[in-house]
Amino acid sequence: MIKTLSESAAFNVLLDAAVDGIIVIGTDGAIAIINHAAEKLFGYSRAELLGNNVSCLMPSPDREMHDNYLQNYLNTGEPKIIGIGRKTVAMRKDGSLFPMYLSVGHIADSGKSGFVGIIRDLTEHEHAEDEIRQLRDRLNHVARISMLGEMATGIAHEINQPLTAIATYAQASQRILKSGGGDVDELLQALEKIDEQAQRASSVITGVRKLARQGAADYQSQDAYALIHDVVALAKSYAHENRLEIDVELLAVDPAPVVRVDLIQTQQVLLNLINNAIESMQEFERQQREQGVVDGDSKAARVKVTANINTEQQAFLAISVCDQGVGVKPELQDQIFDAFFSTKPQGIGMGLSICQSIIEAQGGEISYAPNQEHGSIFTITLPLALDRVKL
Amino acid sequence: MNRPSSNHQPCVMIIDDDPSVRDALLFLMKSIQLDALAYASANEFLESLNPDVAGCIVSDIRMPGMSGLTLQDELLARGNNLPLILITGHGDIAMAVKAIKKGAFDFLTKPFRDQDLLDTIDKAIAEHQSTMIAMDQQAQLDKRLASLTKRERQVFDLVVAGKANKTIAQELSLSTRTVEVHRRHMMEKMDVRTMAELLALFAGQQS
Repeated sequence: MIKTLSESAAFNVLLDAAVDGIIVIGTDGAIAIINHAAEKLFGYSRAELLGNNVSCLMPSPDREMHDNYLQNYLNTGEPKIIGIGRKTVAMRKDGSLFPMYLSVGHIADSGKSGFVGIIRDLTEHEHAEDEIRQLRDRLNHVARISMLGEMATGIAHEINQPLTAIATYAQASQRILKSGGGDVDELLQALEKIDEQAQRASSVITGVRKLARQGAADYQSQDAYALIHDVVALAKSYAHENRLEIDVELLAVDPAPVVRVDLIQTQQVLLNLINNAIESMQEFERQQREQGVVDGDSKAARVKVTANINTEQQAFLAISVCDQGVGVKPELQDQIFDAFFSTKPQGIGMGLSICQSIIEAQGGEISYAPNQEHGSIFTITLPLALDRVKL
Repeated sequence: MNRPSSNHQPCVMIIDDDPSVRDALLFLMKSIQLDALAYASANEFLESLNPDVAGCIVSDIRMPGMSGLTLQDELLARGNNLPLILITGHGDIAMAVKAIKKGAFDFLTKPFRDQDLLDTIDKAIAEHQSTMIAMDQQAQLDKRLASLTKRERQVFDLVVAGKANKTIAQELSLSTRTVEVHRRHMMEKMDVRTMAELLALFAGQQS
C-alpha cells in the first residue's frame, strides 16, 4: 500500500501509525512536525502546536530553561539528552503531568538542522511498578508480622523481666517505708531503677510496634550500629529462651557507619537471620542429643553478629550472622534464596527470599557461606551513605 | 567470687541472667534483712558453692548455659539438699510440673507478689534448717555409735531393746559386773546420763 503513495504521503502514514509520540522541532525550538500519537498524549490538535515553542509541553523549570538547553548544545556540541534519552516529565494541555521516556536525535540534513523527539508514555509502566512495590511492601509486612508472632513468647519474656524488677523494687520499698526504716538515698535509687526498667519495657514495645507498622519503604541515612543493637535487643529474649547468647562484634569506627536503607525492613532482615541462626543451633543440639552426644550443658552456645567495611567495595557495610547450627547441605546452597524453598517442616520458604528482595532493593547483596566445622554465615551488604563515610 | 559463709545464718542465693531482676531481688532480701547473694548463671553459682551453706536458692529456669532444671539435677548429683525455688517468665505449666517432679521446692511465675516469694523462701529455709539439724544429729549419733567397742555396741543394742543387766550378762555370757562396766562406758561415749536420754537419742535416730 505504501508503494502506491507518494513519498511524503508514505512518511505521514508512518508518522501517524507510530505508537510513540514524535515531534520534530527546529533549532529555535519551534514545532515543525507532530504525529497523531503526540497529539493524543498532550491533548492538543496539530494546528494548535505547529510553529509553537516545544517548551509549552514541559513543566517548570524545563519550560523556562529549554531554549538555553538548545543554545548550549548548539554552542558546545555537548549532548545532555541528545542521542541518549532519559526519563522525564511532560505536561498536557490541561496542565496535568505524566511520566515519559524521551529520546532525542539531532537532524543535520542538507543545511537544515533540527531535532526529533520520540516520547513514550510511562504512566502505565509506573502504575505497574507502583503496584509491584506496594505488593512487595505488603508481603514484607506480612512476613514481619508472622516473624513477630513466632517471637511472641520471647518478647513477652523481654517485657516480663523489667516488670518483675519494677514490682520487686516497689514492693521492697513499701516494706522498708512501712517498717519505718529506710535511707532516703536507698529509696531514691530504687525509684530510679524502677524508672529505668519502665523505659526498658517501653523500648521493647516501641521496637515491636515499629516492626509491626505497615508502610512504604523509606530509604534514609541510618546509624548502622544502632540498628544492629536494636535488633539484637529484640532477638536476645528468643535466644535466651533457647539458652543461647548473642555476641556482637562491630568494627570500631568513629563515628559509627551510616547506611542508606529502609530501617524497618533492614531490621526485619537481620532479625530473620538471627532467628534462623537460633533455630539452626537448636536443631543441631537436638540432633546431637538424638545421636547420644551430650555436651555437658554447661556453656552457652553463641550466635555472632559482626560488622565490617567491605575491603573490596568500600561503599558497603557487610553485616554477618554466624551460627554453629546445622548449616546448609552443599547440594541445597543454590536454592536457599528461592521462594517456597524451605528445609524446615513448618517453613513456607519465604524468609530468605524476602530478605534477598529487601537487600537487593537497597542495592546490597545477601550471601551464604558455611561456617568452620558446622553452621552458617549469612552476610548482607548495605550501601554506606557516601557523604558520611570516614575511615 | 561471692562465697557464702559456712555458718548457719541462712542465705538466699539468687540466680538470674537478667541483672535488673537480680538487683531487685537483692533489694527485696535487704528490705527484710535476709542475707542474699546473686549469680548471673547456674555455673557461676556452682563454682562458688560451699556445701555447708544454709538457706535456699531462687533461680530463673530459662537461662543461657545451664537451665534451672539441670541445676536441680546437678545439686542432687552432688548430694546437696539446698531447696531450689524456680521462677520463670514463661507461664509454663508443663515446666512447673517437671520442676516439682525433679524435686524443686516450689515454682513461681514472674512477676510474683513479694509476699508469695518471701513466704516460699521462709518455708524453704525452715525446711532446710530442720533437715540440717536432723542430719547433724544423725551425724553425731553415728559418730558416737562408731566410737563404741564391739562389746559396748552389743550392750547398747540390748539396753535399748529394754533388757536388764542380768539378762544382758546371760545373753553375752559375761558377769553382771562386766556388763555394768561396759554399760557405764557406753553411756559416757553416747554422752547421756539416764536411760530416758539414751532412748530419746535412739528414737531420734529411728525417726
